[in-house]
Amino acid sequence: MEIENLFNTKKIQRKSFFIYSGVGFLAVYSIKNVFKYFFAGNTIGQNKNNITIKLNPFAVKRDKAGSNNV
Amino acid sequence: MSEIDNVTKENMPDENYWRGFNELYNEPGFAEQSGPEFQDKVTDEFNPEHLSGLSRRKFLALIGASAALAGAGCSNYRDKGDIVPYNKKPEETIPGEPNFYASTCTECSLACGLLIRTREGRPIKVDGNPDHPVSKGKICSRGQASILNLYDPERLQNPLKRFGDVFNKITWKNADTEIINALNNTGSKGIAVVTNRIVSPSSLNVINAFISRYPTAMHYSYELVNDSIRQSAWAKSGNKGLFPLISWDKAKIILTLESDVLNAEGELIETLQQFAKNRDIDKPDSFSRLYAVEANLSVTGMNADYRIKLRPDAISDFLVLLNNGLNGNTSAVKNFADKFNIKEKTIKYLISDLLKYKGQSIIYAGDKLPEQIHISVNKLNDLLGNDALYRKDTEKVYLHNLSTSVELNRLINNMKSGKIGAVIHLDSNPAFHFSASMGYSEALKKVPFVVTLTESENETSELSNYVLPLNHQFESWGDAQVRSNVLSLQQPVIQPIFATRQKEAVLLTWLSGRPENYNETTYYNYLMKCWEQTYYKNSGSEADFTSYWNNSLHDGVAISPKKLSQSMEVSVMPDKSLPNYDGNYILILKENVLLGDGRFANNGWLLELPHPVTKIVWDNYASISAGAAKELGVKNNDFINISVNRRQLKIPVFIQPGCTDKTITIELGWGRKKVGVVGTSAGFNANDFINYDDVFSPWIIQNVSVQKAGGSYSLATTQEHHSFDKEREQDLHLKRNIIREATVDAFRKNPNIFGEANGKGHKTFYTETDQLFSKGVKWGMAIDLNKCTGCGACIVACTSENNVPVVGKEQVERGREMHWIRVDRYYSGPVEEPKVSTQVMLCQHCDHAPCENVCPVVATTHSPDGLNQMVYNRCVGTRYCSNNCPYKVRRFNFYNFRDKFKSGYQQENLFTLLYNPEVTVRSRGVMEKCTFCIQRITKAKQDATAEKTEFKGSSVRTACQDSCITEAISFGDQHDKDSVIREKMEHKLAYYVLEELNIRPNVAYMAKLRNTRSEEA
Repeated sequence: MEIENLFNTKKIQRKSFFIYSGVGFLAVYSIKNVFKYFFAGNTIGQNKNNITIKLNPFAVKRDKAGSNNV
Repeated sequence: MSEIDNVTKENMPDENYWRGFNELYNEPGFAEQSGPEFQDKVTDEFNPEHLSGLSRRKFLALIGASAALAGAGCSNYRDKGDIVPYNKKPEETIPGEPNFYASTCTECSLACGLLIRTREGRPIKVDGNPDHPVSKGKICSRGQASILNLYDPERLQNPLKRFGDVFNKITWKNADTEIINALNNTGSKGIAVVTNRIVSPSSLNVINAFISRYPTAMHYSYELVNDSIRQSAWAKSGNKGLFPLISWDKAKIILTLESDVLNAEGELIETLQQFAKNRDIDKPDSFSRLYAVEANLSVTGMNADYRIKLRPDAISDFLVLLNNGLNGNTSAVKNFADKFNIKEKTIKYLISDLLKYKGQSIIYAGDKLPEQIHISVNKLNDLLGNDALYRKDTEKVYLHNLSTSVELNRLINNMKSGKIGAVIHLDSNPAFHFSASMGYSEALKKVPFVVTLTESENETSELSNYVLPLNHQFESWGDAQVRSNVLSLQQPVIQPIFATRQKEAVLLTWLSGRPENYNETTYYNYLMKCWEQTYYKNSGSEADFTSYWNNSLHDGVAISPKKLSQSMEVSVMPDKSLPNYDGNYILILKENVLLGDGRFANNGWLLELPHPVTKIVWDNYASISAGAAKELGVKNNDFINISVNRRQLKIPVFIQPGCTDKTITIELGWGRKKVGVVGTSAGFNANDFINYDDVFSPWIIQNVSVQKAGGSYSLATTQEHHSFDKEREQDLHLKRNIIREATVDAFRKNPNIFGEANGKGHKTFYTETDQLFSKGVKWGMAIDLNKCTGCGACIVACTSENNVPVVGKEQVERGREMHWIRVDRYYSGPVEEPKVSTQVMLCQHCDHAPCENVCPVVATTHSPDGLNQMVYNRCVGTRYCSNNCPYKVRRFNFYNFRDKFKSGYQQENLFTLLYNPEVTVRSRGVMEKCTFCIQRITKAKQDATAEKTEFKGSSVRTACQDSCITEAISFGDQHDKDSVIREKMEHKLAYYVLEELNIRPNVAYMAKLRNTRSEEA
């Protein structure tokens, strides 16, 4: 009987279990994705820059490639 | 007494079994102990509060939840972002279609024309501009690899200012304001503007305007290895202007003296193209004969018909001998030959050939040789009437003279004495390039204001107050003039990725005195204005300027019918007497063709490109002969100490066949200390030995002291993996017909010199295969060994086109380099005077491919048009295919090298922009190999379908074929009767490597013809 009391006092509710798991998952996921740029684990450390590619409006492209057809 | 002694018959226990003495003697308490299941105090005073709060159930629940969360949180999945279509598509961009832009390469002073392929606005491949009249559509390995510098994650991205020992970011506005103030406050102190050679007329205008604005300013320029000696000698020989360009294609006899003219000197691209014209197997009568006189084996020596091993300090005696011989006196030839261990008949052949082909030969002295030798060579050429080979249709142009050593030393002394108030380094690195004994770095520390404009951090920027980041050449406007009638244009193919600027725009901003004046078109407008006022006016063009300008940008070049400008007066060097040959150790310093003056020291493609002669990667070394190694008591990889005056260097040794005794050759440009992670610890810096005051030559140092030093160093080479023992290995390439050679004379007399040994006579059981490939397109390649010099440009082009990873030195030492194409170099003959043969090796796309049958998962298949295909996502990495490949051309990804090499350097956001989107990026555990550029084949087929035209094999050019400067590689449809490839494959000289295996490779090689005398054969 004492043993049953033990489990009653420390009983884990199923609902609580899932709530805590979900919250924990969200916490880890958020940490990973928000802070991944800081904890990228490389020595260069440039990941946090978003690189934008822009064309130069004054450059003139060739209408054919010359000897390169591809 | 022991317990056993107490046992009597009365107290003897039961004869049944007993477990212990307690039971045996029936000790008191034993009965109570053995009776109940639970002992005292186990369950009596049970108190739940004494238990831990964690039950088994709870423990299991928490473990399960933790494992689930850890699994979710520890994923290695890299979020590559979303793919979205253009909201507003740029007009010039069609997704999936490349754009091409013409531009000019500014990585050296040759200024070759470039054709840059871009995809979705980012450049991914560089080739030569076919419209450029000088380079004619070709560039060297450095030009091919220059695109990697654009995507170097370690490029400078922001201006930096020194605060104590650290550099912090600063805005351009603040940097410009502070620099303008500092320049205006230098007072009477000098301002030095230090550059490399300037080939851009517009850039030079800007610099001159800057010099005019500040009266105490002076322009200093230098090059690590230059041709000042040649130009001075030309002027002293009574000529005007610069040393003329040579028509190498008109030369029947070429004699080079300590000159690697086919790899590292002079007008490299043009020379190679012209030289290759006289190596046409369809015109054996037009073959030239190349004599190379050199101390250490070079690419020119490898391709020479005759090679004379001679130290540079003996060349003056050699020229005297030659001169006497040309005048009919050959009595001294034997003594000379005996003294220097040269074949007497070779010298006599040379004399006889020069006399026979007067006016059709050329003697060419290397840039490093002393002035007196150049003067003697000029006289000999005049004597032989060889000035007929000096080009008259065009001239070389230098826009300005380089600073002399006197001027540079004066600058350094002024810096030390506080007379210089500011030094501006415009894309130059003198702290590395100048010899340490000149004291430039120490002097720079005494200058109060130092600004360095550079793309990446270097030794000079480390000593500066301000470091300003420059645009890469693909982000820059510019022009270049290296010929009297040709002007090249440079245009940006991408807007600056970071907060970088052009050096000319920076100077113009400082000149205006107002930092807010800067905008992105500052230099663009200036350049256009220069062109409108000068070249457009002189061009005689009937179109308006805008059309002329756009047309020039489209072509990348403007050709003028008349001379555009006069070259500068050459500065003449003071006379020096030539020291004699003394037999002591001599040190030769060569420019490295891969790293140049060191600016490519962080470029992984070039660091991993095997040296054309030694096949060593990632390092330089001291090349010495086997005899010198024996004398010093060293073997390969051992360290030696080289010292001259107070300069010293400890460097590993490489024993080079064909090297003269007591000669040490070291290539420059290595051993950079302030360079990115890729180039760190690569090589040894020999710049300290350059001595402009040396009596012989700045780059050839006599009286060098050499000793064995302790320890050894591991030099990684790609050629000597899995070497066989000597007997089995010697001349193996000839015994097994991997290389086929003959002489030109023998071929002329009997074109069927190799018989019918080109695969046609082989019978087979597998006739279905022949029928399978008898219709439609069948791809094949032909490689002409007569034209291939072994330069390696094809390797870099293939790496660039096919997203081949860099693996690093350690992996290369294990034989894991990933190059899909390689250049094998074979020696034959004695170690002292070897003959060298080079052969490009790549996947042969065999009809009966031994790799295809053994794949357990059918990851390698054969296409109907003859390609050996590789299906990456089927491959499980058994490596059986590589095991079966007799050519060893398959490369296995032992690691995900993009992740492994330098902690994910090749996975940086910026670096990944480099990848060709048409080619899969392979991961770990997957086999890869040459695909004959299947992406190009597919694209050509798609274009033909879209345009409703017939698909022809000649419309496809592989990356290696495009890059080959001498057009040694041909590719196309073997079934097309009119194609070049068909003609080559049916040529008498065509053969297949290891054809006795009957695996039917589709890469044919044209046997090498050496133009030696028939009596040599």
